[in-house]
Amino acid sequence: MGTKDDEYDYLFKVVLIGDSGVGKSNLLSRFTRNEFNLESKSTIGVEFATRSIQVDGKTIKAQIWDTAGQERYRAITAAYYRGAVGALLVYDIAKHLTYENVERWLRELRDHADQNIVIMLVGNKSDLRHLRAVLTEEAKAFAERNGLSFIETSALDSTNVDTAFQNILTEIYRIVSQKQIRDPPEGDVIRPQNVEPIDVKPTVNSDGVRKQCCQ
Amino acid sequence: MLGKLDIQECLRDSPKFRCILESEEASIDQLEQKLDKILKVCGSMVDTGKTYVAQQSLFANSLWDLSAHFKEDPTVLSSLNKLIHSLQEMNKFHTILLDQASRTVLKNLTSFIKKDVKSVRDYKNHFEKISTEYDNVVLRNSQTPKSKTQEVKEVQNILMAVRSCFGHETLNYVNSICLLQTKKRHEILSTILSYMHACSTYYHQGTDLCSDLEPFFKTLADEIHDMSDETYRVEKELENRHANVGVEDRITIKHDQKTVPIMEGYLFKRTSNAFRSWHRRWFYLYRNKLVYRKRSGEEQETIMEEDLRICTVKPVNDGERRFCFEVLSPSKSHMLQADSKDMFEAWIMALQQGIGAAIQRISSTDFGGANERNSQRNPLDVPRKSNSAVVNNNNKIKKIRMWEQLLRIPGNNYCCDCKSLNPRWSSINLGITLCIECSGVHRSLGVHYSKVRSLTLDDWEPEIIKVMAELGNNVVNKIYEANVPEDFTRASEDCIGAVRESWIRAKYVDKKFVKGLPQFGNDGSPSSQNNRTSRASLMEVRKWSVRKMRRRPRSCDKKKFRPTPKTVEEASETSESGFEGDLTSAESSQKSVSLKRRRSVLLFGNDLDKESLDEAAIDLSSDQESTEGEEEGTVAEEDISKLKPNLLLYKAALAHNIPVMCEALALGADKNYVNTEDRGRSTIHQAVLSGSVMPCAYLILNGVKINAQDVNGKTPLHLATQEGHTAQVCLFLKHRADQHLEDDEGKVPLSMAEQKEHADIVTLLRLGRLNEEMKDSEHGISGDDMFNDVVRDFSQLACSHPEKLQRPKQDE
Repeated sequence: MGTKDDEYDYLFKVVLIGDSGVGKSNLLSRFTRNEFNLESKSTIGVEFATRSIQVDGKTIKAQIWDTAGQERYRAITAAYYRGAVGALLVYDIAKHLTYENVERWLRELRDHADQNIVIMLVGNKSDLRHLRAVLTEEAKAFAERNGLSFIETSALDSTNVDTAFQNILTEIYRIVSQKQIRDPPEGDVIRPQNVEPIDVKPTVNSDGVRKQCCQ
Repeated sequence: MLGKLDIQECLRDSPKFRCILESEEASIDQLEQKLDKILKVCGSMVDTGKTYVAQQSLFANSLWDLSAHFKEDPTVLSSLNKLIHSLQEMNKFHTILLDQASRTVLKNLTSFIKKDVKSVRDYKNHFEKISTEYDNVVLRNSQTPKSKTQEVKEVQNILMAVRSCFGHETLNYVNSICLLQTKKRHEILSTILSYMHACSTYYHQGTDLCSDLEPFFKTLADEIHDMSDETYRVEKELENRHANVGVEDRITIKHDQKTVPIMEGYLFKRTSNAFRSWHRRWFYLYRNKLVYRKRSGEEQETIMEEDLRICTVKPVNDGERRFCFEVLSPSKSHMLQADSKDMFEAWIMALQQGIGAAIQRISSTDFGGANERNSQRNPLDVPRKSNSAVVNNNNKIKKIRMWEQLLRIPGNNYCCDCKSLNPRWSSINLGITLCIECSGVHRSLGVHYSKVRSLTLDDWEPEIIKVMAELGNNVVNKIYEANVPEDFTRASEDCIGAVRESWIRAKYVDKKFVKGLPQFGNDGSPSSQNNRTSRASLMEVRKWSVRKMRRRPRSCDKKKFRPTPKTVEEASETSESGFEGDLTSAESSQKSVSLKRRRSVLLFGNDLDKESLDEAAIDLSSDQESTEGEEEGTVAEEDISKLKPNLLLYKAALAHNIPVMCEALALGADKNYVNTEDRGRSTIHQAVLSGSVMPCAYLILNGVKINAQDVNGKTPLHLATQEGHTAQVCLFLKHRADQHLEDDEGKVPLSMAEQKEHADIVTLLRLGRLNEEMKDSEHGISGDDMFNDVVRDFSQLACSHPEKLQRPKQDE
């Protein structure tokens, strides 16, 4: 599970979305563990992984939610997007239908995610040159029209995988650090604005830690 | 001219005649041309007039449209309407005039041309024809040789006939010309005159109308003058307003009659997401709530804080922005920024006063126990009524409804222990409501006996509400006050503290008034201290069981079939239809036990729902999604010799029958009891297998071991995962169940869920792991936070839309 470096300046939640089979899980494993599996199974529900990177001398920890592309393996959608500040919208350059469905995924993002979420359109499997079905220029133009950043990657041969994550995390960092006005530098970004209610029971449960009571 | 001509001259057909004739013909041609032109012009005049009238009527219509704009202003509206009416009247006159024009000018002149001029033409034709004929005959006559006497005679005859004919035709022609020339004089003049008459009528009508309207015009002019004066005055006044523009912020704190501050104005609020952007929103205090909305775009207000009573406000001075303050509630914190120091202070003051007023108001009116003790009315009627206006606010309504519903559960409107009216507290593990004094005693017992919560201040998890809905003061007192000795002093509304305390201790700690299980035959039941009714009949009992509980179906189901007590009886009969014959229940004992004599089965929890379902007003659903569609019935029967509290609790958990579970616990059952005869499973395992969240939540509330493993090493979390009970998994994770425990096959719940491809459970379990991982790191809180949010989403969903969590099952 990613690098276990406990020190970080920022924690960003990024979701991976896109049709089933476009290679989201492999992008994640390539980025977080430098692994690739040609025969990976469909993701069920959500898988999580983390990795920290450096931007401007700051440590940014990415908490990546790899979501199921297949409808029947999808869990409650609202949970996916809650608190997400970035989204990698992945399609397969060799399957045009996965590119056509990008609009549907965009709509889902607009419906469920924060309006400021940073979205990157990722054309994966760029190694399949001979099977290309989506032109780079076409996808780039689409991304520009919709205000998305764009990159083509290959989880198989590692092309651009780190760059994609690096770029989106940097972009989020720029936005967040600009907006962050009063937080001291070491303050984490996703600070507890919504602390779980603590029911103070007068007699017991005085240890004061954030623990569910009434067990 | 022709008229004056001698008739002989005509008959002689002299050159003079012909000359005059020609000039006459030319004059008639001219006349005709001129008349044609008149007709043409007049026709187009009428057409243009019609277009004008049509446009004017459109104009009037558009004025009608305009008048709709003034529908709030009766003065303007009535004047405008009258003006439009006059205009339309005038338009009508104009239509008549045009009509007259076409009737007089067009009709008369056309007929003059068509009839009179045309007849002249006809005569001319005849004349010319006969003239040629006459010429021919004269010629022929002259050419006829003398020799042919016969022929000469014949020609002479013809000549005479033709000459006579020519004479007649000539006269006809001349006459018609003369007639036309005389007729044209009066025809034309009369035509024009009648048109002028029409004009005159038109103007007369106009004058009459206008003279009628004259007074109205006068008053209207006066009114218009007044109006323009008004505009001038307003203009002056508005100009003066500029003086009000100051450099200072405008602060307005009004107080209504209850001295609740009504503060409103713009504040910047910081978003709670990672972007931390600041938005300017219009904030106001309203009904103990802090509410805001956007300046434009959406009507809907957003509730920032539901209940000011649980909030505090504090200035924030260490930030970079000025004039910031924080509104804190147990669950949230909001960073707000005022525009200036004055506004900042005003807001803090208003919020503090608002919080104070809210607390005061609630304690004095809405839930007024003390000052309304004598009134029998439902204390919650007040907030409900006053809030009905604000239906748009779901959350608020939900909370109010929750209180209302909880108090409607039988017995809950009186304190469970001292019977004082309108309890505002509760014990969530006992499922009862309490007055503030008794709640104090309950607190002192410790949470292993009673977990106290406020009905009005605390947040309530959905599963706790479900448990509360299953129990209630009546049900619980039937168990805990089943057997109170006559001489024991009960706590009362205003008893002294010692009495209250000893009563509550005796009731819940010593469980002195709980009736033991019925005793049977030789196997010495554990806690039976008294004779039960109809003991003789009980001697025949060989088996016992627990009825599956479904006391309060989900509200949507209930609409479909709201069971009356009668149908419930029928249902229970059909559910046991395997048994022939009538099922005579024993004299309904006070202990929720009914007896099936024929089958000799002692059935626990059979008479419970009859009583509760009478309470049609209760809308609170206590049932759980996973038991939907479940057959009513009982769990497997057990031999009567095994009727012990522990096994009763065990069985009741499987039947998700909370009241019987409560009874078993009151009888001293061990909540962590392990059934060695049933794969070493414990009560919590049975609760999982029941499919319902309620028994799990109830046991957790009563401190059960959440990670108990059966002989196969399976924890409740294993079982819930195996059964696909998402809501239960959610509940266990919320209560920090350990998901890393392996069963005998070395499986953890996550691997089971993955194998079963249960997306929701996989997600929840992975999220739990992520949460642990994040907690390990230094900034643990963020993960924790996200986890709590998602889990809360899930449990809300499980309660409000259980069908959504069913989906993956159907896919399998």
